[in-house]
Amino acid sequence: MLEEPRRPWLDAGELKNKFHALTALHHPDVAGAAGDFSALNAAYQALREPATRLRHLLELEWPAGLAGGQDAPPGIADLFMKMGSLQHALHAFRKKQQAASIPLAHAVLAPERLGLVHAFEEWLAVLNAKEAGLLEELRLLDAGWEAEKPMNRLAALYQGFSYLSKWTGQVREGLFILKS
Amino acid sequence: MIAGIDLGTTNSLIGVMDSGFPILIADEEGERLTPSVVHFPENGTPLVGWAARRLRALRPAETVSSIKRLMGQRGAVIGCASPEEISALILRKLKRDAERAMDQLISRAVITVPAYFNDGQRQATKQAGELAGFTVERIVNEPTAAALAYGLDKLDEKSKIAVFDLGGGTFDITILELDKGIFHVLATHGNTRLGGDDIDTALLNLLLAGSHDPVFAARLREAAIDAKHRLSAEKETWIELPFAEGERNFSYSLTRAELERLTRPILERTREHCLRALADARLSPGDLDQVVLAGGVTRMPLVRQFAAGIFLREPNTSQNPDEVVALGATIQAGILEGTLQNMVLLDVTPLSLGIETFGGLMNTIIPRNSTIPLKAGEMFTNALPNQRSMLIKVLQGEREMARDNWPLGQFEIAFEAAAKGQARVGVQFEIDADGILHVLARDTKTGLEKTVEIQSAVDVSDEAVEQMIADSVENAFEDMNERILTETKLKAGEMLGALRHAFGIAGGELPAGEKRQIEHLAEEVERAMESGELARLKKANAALDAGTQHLATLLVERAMGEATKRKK
Repeated sequence: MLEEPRRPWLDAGELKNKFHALTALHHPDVAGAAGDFSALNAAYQALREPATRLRHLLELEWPAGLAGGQDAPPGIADLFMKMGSLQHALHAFRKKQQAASIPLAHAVLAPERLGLVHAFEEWLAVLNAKEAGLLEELRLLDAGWEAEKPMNRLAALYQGFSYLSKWTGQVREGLFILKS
Repeated sequence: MIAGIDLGTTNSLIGVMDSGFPILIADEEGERLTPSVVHFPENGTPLVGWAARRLRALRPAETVSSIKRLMGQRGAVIGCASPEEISALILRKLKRDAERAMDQLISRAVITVPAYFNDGQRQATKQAGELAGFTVERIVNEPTAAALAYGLDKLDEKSKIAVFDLGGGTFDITILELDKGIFHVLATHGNTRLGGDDIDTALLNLLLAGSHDPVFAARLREAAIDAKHRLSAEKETWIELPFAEGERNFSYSLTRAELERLTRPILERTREHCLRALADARLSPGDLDQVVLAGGVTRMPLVRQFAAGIFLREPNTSQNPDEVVALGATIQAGILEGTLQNMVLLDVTPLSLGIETFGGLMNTIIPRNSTIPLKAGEMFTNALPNQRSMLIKVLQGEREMARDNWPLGQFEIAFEAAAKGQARVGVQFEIDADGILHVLARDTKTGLEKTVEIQSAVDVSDEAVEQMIADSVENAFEDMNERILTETKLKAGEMLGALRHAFGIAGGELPAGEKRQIEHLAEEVERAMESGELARLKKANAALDAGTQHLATLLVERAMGEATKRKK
């Protein structure tokens, strides 16, 4: 629908512009029932984030790569442990917070809450740096794509991106809970 | 010709496109706003709009206001009419006004709803439109409509805006990206039971001071609403009702400060929704270019300050907050007619859609803030050999447990006889541009597709509902006293625990006198707990609560100080 080549790298801004331009042609308000906007919508949602885009590319080019078995990019496994312990701390804190019904009890929890905010913010920076690294790797892989089509590396990157997008989602949600 | 309609909690409006521009239509009295009020006289036809609103104070029992708050509530009946039927009366009046003004029949309409309306509330609104004789061409979200009106003369711009829409009964916050005529909603959040009505009620409770005369209360409510409006411009105003209760005259001097004190806690409830929408759009306030206000309540200076505080910028007040939604509905009508080109609205579904799975959990199929219209497929297989059917419960909401979400209904899918896991039926969930769900089932073997009828999830008879309410009220009175004592004891225990903890952290920083004072208060709480006297314990709790306010502030400031140090 978006007439993008089957490649791992896409420029997010350009993709959005294209989506908007095609929306102006295919949206049911403009094209009536004949417009296939749902398909365009689905295509855009699949391509805009690296994790879903690589998944889509693997489905087309190498479905076996989705079955797992490839090692995730280095460093991802270490992040996993840290993420778990942060989620655990947040969960414990929320329990205490939900039990607190009076201002003094909330005040007593303030040091812990602000400490967690700090930890989550630092952690978000780590995850963002890791993602930037993976994006750089993806760009390199894209440069040599036609010649090499390195499916193993693509599958590993897919794993890395999908863990990272899940974790950054959790961290954002955690920060939202801690700050509101 | 398609009409654009803002069917509001307090007021409704109708507009049409006229030589390429959206215009709003005035009624016979020359007013563009039509109060969403219906009066049912003992004999004769119902009155709608200003005529009904004037009778509201005199005959409150026969007059219905704020019916929008009940839209989509199963089994809700006022007198002998459903919320849909009452809303249809309002819509029919608007239709007549527009037909008179335009001198032609108008049978198609775009109707707005709060963005956070669920599937049932949207369907009810559509039904109301059909009852009024309209073909409902589109259900549009109010804040998105407001964005269309705001962006009508900015079609070559690229910007990000937030629409803060606080109406009579509902609150929505919507964040959109405007890109050369594409109005792309990024996130929306809200509360369908939060609005100006809540301010009126708080104000009325203050003024009533315990009086229970319904006619007096109805008159006072009108006077209070007028005073609230005046206080957007003035600092102080008098509320006066001659012969309020028999001989007595009622008179009260209300200041803006007092009104704001009542409004603040209601307004505070919008904060979480705003932060949630920003987080879902993955934006921070600094990324926004404008904050547009919609809904009559945003005329209050306090509301403007509050919105400015959350989004860190002065809100844009270029639009008339009472009319901006109706103008937007009319613009959408123009897009559908084809009279307005180069504009497309890309909205989202406000609530996650899912189905109930094992253990009563909600399994999300379409997450909230997904761009619509969209389709999502799900494959179901038989869990037992030769299982012939499966019941699927469809839910809307954000909670983990299925029972905490809004049940949209349920449907049954039929399997061919087959070994376990061999029969397969694909189910397609489609959310259309109105935000309404359709379900299609497709047998993978035969390839046959058919629309699935969703049955209402809670088909409880009216008597059963009444009985349930009666039961719960009776039981409530029986164990009320005991429950309150238990709760008060729990609160006392929590307070003493928190106090020990607080002393451990910052006890040393308190002046000796204050510390001793708090210890005395805590001892009294302990003694009151032992005595089991409810009144005494409540009093002791309140005293300790008040006495530890300074300590609580101290703790928070201390923690924030440490957090800042950490950042450096």
